[in-house]
Amino acid sequence: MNFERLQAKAARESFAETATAENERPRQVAVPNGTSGKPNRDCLGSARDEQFITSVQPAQNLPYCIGLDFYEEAETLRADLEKRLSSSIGLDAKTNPLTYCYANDSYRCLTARAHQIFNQEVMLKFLDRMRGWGKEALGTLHASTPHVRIYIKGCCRAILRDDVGVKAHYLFSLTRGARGKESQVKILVGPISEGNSRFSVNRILNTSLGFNRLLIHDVAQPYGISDPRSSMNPLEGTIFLDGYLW
Amino acid sequence: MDSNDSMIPPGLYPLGIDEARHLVSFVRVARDDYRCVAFHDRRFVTSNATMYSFNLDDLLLFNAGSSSLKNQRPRHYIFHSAFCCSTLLVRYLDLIPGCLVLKEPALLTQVTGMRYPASHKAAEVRAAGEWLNLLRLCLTLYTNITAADEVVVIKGSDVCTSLGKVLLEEDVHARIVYITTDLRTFLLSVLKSERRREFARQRLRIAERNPITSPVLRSLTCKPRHDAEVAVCAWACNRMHANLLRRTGQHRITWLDAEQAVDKPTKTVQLVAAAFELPVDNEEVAKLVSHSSVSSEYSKDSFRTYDRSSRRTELEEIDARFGNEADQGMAWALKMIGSFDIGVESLGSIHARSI
Repeated sequence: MNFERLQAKAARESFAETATAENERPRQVAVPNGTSGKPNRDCLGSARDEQFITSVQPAQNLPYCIGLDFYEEAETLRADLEKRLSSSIGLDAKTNPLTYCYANDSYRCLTARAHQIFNQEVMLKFLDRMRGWGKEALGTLHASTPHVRIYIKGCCRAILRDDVGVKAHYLFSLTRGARGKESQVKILVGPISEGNSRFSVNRILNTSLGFNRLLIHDVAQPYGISDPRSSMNPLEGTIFLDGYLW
Repeated sequence: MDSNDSMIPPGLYPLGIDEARHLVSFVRVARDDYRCVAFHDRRFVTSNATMYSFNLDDLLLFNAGSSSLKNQRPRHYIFHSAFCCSTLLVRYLDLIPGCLVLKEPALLTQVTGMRYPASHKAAEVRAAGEWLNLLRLCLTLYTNITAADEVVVIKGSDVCTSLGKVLLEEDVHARIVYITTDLRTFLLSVLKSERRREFARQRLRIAERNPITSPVLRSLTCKPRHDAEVAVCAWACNRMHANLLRRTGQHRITWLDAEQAVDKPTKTVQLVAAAFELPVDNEEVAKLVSHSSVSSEYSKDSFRTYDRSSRRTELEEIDARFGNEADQGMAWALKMIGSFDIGVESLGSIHARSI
């Protein structure tokens, strides 16, 4: 396994895109203001390239880190997924595992439970890998079974914090064939306004996760996922296994 | 593999945890089967039973985040020192509508054992509240089986007596009935078979890992060598845990004697029903008990006739064979009982044979 901190190059490219787009001016982002749930659009965020790089912390002290070529059996997971989705027909939940998941102003994507897509042994092995890595890198003991989240054209998630009492959130990418049109993952890595403050300055990590990459971040950090420019074919969408470590 | 909004589908009974694979196994159990089976463990797994597995971590996460409405349902416990008619008692409770009795459920016994595991490595992994979360999950899974208006009564195995204190602390509404027998009757019950002698040796090994009982066992000036002495230790360690309950919440504990359950079943069941606030009055209890065949059947084998008189006869036969060995155990107990801090009077009848 080649687990690394966020590569400086990736961070620069990621930030460069954001900075260019925003012309280095403070940028409005949707951030929950002290509570989870609906996004609060009053918060401000901005960042400089150097701040991104220096904000990367050791794994034991998240805010975030990325693993490349994380799982040696990622191909098996992808193959199971392709087989399952390629054979999906009709509206029956037994033959078509994907559900459209929608919450106004918060998220919309296709989702499935892991057992609806993957063979049990395949998933148990993946969870073993997650637990083993979590124990070594973060000191965690538990890994939740992930949900499969697929972002096709029109899908996205506002920058929100998950209201879960655990240590870390993980996204493991099974995205393939998006040809640069995949969703961007956005993680708020700066301070979040609390109490009476209506405004705060925040930094956002903006990165795409290629196949077999793992993103881990502190569950207290809000994260979002952009609308991909891909087709509406789920197999060409941005595909994440989405779960928690604690 | 995955939990849904109600955690697990209704009708599934949790059997045990596969620690290596982080899985909890379940089996589908028909409602009536809870009454038919004397112990709620692998005996539920018949040849045509379908097993289900859930990721333990998913269940822990769900349980930690759930509103725990189901956890607020009444949940009471019966603990005991083994071989003291506790199975007979819960068969009477089975007669009471609105009350689901879980008989020595395997998962609770397993979770009890996981508190102070034999392997040091396992103990390292389960530090800082991990075990408590497992216990809470276990209790939620049991409560999950019951209907909304039911009271769940969990009769733990004898090793679960050590959980009493933490269970009272976890749930302020919980009540405990503790049933025991005098030491000499216990010794005779153990000495009568090799399997039970091994049972006592295993209990001693468990007690040696428990922080309440292990210092006492280490401090014994005369170590238990014979089976009867080992059995004395097993009984006394169980009694130590029971005595701790007295200090935790005297008014929440009801003490019963085995002879009482055999000789006066109606009064005993009335006492327990009152302690657990079961939805039944004394008159109904008397009717249920008198019309049942429970008092004439062997608790663990409904095809075998067993009543007060046959119990007495059986104990006499055992006494004839193992009485001397039991007496040696009693003599050792008299010398050592001070170390266990449970009082000589708790031994029951010492000099005269109890039967």
